[in-house]
Amino acid sequence: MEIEKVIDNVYWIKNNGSRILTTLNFKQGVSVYGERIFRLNGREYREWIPSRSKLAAAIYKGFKPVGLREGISVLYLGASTGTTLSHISDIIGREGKAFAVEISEEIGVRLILLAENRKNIYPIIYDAAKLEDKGSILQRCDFLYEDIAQKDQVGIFIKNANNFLKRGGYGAIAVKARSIDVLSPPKEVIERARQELSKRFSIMKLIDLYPFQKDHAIIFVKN
Amino acid sequence: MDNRDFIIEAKRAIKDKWTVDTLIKRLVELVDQTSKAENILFKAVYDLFFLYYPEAGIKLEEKERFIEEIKNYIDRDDISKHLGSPKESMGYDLTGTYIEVIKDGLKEISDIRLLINSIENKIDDLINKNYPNSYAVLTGMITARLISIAGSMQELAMMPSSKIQILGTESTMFIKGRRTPKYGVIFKHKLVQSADDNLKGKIAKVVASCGTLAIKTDIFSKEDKKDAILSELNRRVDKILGNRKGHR
Repeated sequence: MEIEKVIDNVYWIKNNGSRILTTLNFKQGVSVYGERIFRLNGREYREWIPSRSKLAAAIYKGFKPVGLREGISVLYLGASTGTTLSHISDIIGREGKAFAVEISEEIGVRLILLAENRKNIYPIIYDAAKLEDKGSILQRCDFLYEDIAQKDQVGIFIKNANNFLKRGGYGAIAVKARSIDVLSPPKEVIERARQELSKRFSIMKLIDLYPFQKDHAIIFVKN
Repeated sequence: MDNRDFIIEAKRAIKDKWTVDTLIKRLVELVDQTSKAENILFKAVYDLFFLYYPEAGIKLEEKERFIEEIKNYIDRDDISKHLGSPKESMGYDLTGTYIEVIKDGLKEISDIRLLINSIENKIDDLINKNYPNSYAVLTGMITARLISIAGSMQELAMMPSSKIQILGTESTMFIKGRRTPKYGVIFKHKLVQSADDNLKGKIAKVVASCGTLAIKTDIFSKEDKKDAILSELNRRVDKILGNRKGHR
């Protein structure tokens, strides 16, 4: 087996021609959502499944999210049960901070239980569209990630970037075409979102996530 | 910096979000799913009985009747005496232990019914305690179903009565070329049920109107206006029924 570094704490594990994306496990011996764990050279690697995480799918499609480094602070909108979040927590490591915003109380329970195990996750049970109310406890972050199923998800992303993203910071938005507009063709919806974002940010890359996720795209931006 | 403060704050936020409406919603869901399970179980048990004694099975297609009759006698001889079906059966000759399976299935169905009844009583108690006016006008189960569709009583109180009248018809609401439904969850109300078919829509409108009054009273003023609203409801229903008699 060979190991190849992608970005901080993210590695390809190559075996007989196939490759698996993994992150270095922050909490030894714990699998968060039932993913496989590989032990190589005394270190633990957790598999990052592209069909469950849009960020992983983007890396599988050949993009390196350079903004994600060890020790940065991340604002994650729409954390859900913390599948992608657990890998981001792996990447940023002990020094980093991941502020995870989630509105639903039922899903929030799992998020809090995850945060109790991983000290770099800071859960906030609140509406991502009204996050400016929490301005007193939040800080400006280096990386903003949004994965919410809202019609106005691009607007919410821009608003939160204005409030909580550092100058020169990076962002990624998972565009859910079917949540924004059911009737228009997904490609058109994604293109519209790209144009709207390009007024405010410089676009780094737009990636269609097919075949890992249908009608989804991820757009990486720089502030 | 530790994330402990955030965890404490988030835990408090989650705990504050649960209300009695959440409990009601969950209980209604439990009733719905349990009744679905009961139907599935009944179908399977009925099919097994049909294999054993198809002649009697055809006569006992109705659920209530099947449970009532098979509870006491399970042997072919007993059933044939009771129902007058032929003693020589086309069915597969099941032996004692397999007949026991049918019996056990029936016992399970009656257990599920007891569960549903007890949950429904609990929902009634909850509604009566928290929303007494709505309980008097709309009864417990209908109010609970309305809450589970609307999300919470607060949201229900913000709705107009026409919306409450058709709440629960979301699936048929937007079919092209079809008229707007006359009633949704309100249909289960005993005044609507007992009315003639051509008057059901009008009665549903009146029930929804008075129900809306009761819901708003429960949320905003929290006074006890049961009798006033009920007498208003009866007056308007009588007017509709009376008009019809006058015309004939």
